[in-house]
Amino acid sequence: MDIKILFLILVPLGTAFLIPLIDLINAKLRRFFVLLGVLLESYLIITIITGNLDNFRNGDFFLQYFLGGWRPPLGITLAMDGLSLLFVVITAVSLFLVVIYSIGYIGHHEGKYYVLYFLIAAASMGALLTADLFNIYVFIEMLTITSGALIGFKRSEEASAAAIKYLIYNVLAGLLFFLGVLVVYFNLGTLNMAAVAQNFADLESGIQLFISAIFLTSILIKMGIFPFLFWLPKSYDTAPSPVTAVLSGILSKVYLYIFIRIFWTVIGFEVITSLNLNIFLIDLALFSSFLGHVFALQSNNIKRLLGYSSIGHIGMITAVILLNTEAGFYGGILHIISHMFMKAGLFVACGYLLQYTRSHAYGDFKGVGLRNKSVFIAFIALLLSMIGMPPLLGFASKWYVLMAFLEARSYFGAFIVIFGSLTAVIYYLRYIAKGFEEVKLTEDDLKEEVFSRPLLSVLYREKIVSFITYTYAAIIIGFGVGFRFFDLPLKMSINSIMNVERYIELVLGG
Amino acid sequence: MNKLVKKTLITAVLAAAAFALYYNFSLLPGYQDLEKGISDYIITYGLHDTGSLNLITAVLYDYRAFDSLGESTVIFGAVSGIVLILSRKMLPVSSKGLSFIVKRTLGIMTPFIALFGFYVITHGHLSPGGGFQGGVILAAISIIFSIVYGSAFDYRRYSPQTKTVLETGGALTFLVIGLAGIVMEGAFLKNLGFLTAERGTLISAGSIPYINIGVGFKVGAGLAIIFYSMIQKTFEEDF
Amino acid sequence: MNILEIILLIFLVFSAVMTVRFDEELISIIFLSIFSLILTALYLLHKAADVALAEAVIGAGLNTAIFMSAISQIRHSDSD
Repeated sequence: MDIKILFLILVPLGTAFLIPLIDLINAKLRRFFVLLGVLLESYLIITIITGNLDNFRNGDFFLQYFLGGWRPPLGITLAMDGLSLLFVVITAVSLFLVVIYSIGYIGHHEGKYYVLYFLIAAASMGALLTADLFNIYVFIEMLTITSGALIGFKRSEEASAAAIKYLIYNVLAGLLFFLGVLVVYFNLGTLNMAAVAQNFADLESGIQLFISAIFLTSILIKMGIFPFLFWLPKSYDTAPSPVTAVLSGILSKVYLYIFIRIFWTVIGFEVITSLNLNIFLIDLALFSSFLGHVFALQSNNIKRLLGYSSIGHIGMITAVILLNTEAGFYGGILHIISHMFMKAGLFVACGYLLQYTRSHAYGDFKGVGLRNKSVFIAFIALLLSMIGMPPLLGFASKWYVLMAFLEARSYFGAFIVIFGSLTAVIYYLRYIAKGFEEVKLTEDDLKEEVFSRPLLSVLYREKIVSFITYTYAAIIIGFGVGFRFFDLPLKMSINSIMNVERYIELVLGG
Repeated sequence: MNKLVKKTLITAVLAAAAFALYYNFSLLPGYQDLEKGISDYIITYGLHDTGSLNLITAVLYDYRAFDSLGESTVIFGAVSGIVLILSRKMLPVSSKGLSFIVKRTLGIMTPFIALFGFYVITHGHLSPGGGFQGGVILAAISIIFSIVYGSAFDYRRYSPQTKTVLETGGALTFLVIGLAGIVMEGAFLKNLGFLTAERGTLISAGSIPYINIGVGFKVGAGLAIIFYSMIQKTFEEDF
Repeated sequence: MNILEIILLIFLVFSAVMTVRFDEELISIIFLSIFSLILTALYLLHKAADVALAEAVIGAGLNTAIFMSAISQIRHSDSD
């Protein structure tokens, strides 16, 4: 019983509940309150890490909490092993950076924005920590509803259309997930993931296939893999930049975690292999990655382009994880970390740079780099990392992904990695070149530009926003040199993915 | 021609999906095989464990109370999102409402509807119902006010601020009861032992009725806010 | 499966089809609330009183009101 992992969920939840009340008393207090919530959350994570350093080295790190005092399989259990710890830490770092960025960026309807933001934080923590299938569904639903509302944050016609499209796809995915949970309960009479994992192999293969297919469809929609990727670019484009950073930096990674959790821990990879799903899935994910890069090549809108490139990277990560080798997990999870920071950093930088432009289109990107050179250099560093330049984090993770594909003799995968980098060179360099083009502005142009963006705040706090961009670039450069730092956490997570018996034993026996 | 092709394609896909679902559900075990796993335990020991006569409430607010916290948070998030997207200046559409007869009739009926709502909320552990259902009935009162008496009347009676306070108050009640569980019983959302009484009485089943009341206010106020922000007249100038 | 249940199921499918088939939104909404009512009766037949109450209150009551208000907003902006 470790109460800290419960408070990882409750602190953001309580903050979200209190913000409307604080708003009614004094709206100025809100920002301090938001900071307090984030700092408390970081403090919790730091104490969890420092309190368990010995367990990390011994490889027996495991925390759990029984809600309501009901032991599994009766009640809901929260469990944290190496994999969830890694995801919790990187999610919390991203949440922390983006919330500070939001303080500088969001200028209207702040109260509701932070409520929804902290609900996303609570839900992603919950989805990462819970060991109960229905509980995961609840948190997925929470993520969908809150992020859908945030996509429509600009309240323009475009934003509403994107939000509705997002909600239709994702609520459908949530319903499919619920159907899967229902079928699991119908067959096994329990919802605890460990208890389900214990008995799943005994089911008939028809039902196994049914359950796997439902979960698979649901999670593929959520992650934006090939047949279901059409909601993604539009919502990435129209959402405000911090929200896009959350969508791509946190939500897609949480869904990747759920994917790993369900298919390795709950269903078990042997079952997937015996149903011959894995080969099909690898090809599907790689094809999706290919499509993402091709679409990015013809895209004329920087945020949409980044969305398509996200599709490419998520597909690649999914494929490399599905190889089910140690090298595959190592590369995949390292790339999850690096992609999280690169993409969130890029969207954050975009939010700063695009304030100078009339639209997100390629033509309007002209001259952006000359307005604020240091931010643009950070932006370029992040772009180079996406391409995979040697001293940056993107290179290290892509290298491991490539090695994993070559080791498994999946040459199509290796081709996709190289192909992604090559196309990325073309589509990113185009923007960098455009950014350095001289542009002459008349007085009228300037006026029009100012009034064409009524929704950006007047209180735009430039320093905070650019500081966060530098932070992301610093993370990419720093960990690019010292990517060995992730060695221990990665080994821990691989261990907890591969060692399902230990998870079952600890959850059910603890 | 193109339209026809599209239609047939959609029909074919839907039919295939329906067939796949039907086929797979026919593989599932029937009712008689279901009595295994935790449902057996809950049916046998649920009343003893929680003191709630209504076993569904026992599951919702005791065994799996954390799920209920999550589900009511979904409503909370939906309310925030809808208010965020739809909120304009607080200028309600001031219709005159319906005719005199309807107004009188509903004036007599409203207290009874409210009574029924509170009954469903507070008797959640004894009879069918609970916080969610009772809360929606309470929200229906606000909706009836808006339709029958005009939304200005509803605005004056229960302003959005009051509703917000009720909503967050309900949410915080749930959270506080959960935290009290940590302090008093050693686990989050554990049923509070000192509140138990004789089974079947109104104040029994530990903290379940109080959670029900919290959820009821949260859901009721939240849905009323949703309806209220949907009927507002939209104005362009804002923020 | 008794006669009542079969009749209710047939009506359920009928009202679902009608909800989709009509172009007029108002009629669709009415059929949707009829759908919810039939579903309530079915839940009651299966002795799920809690679910039946929730379905009656949310499906037949609240959903209809919210859909109606949405429709009124759409028509309002169309006529302008």
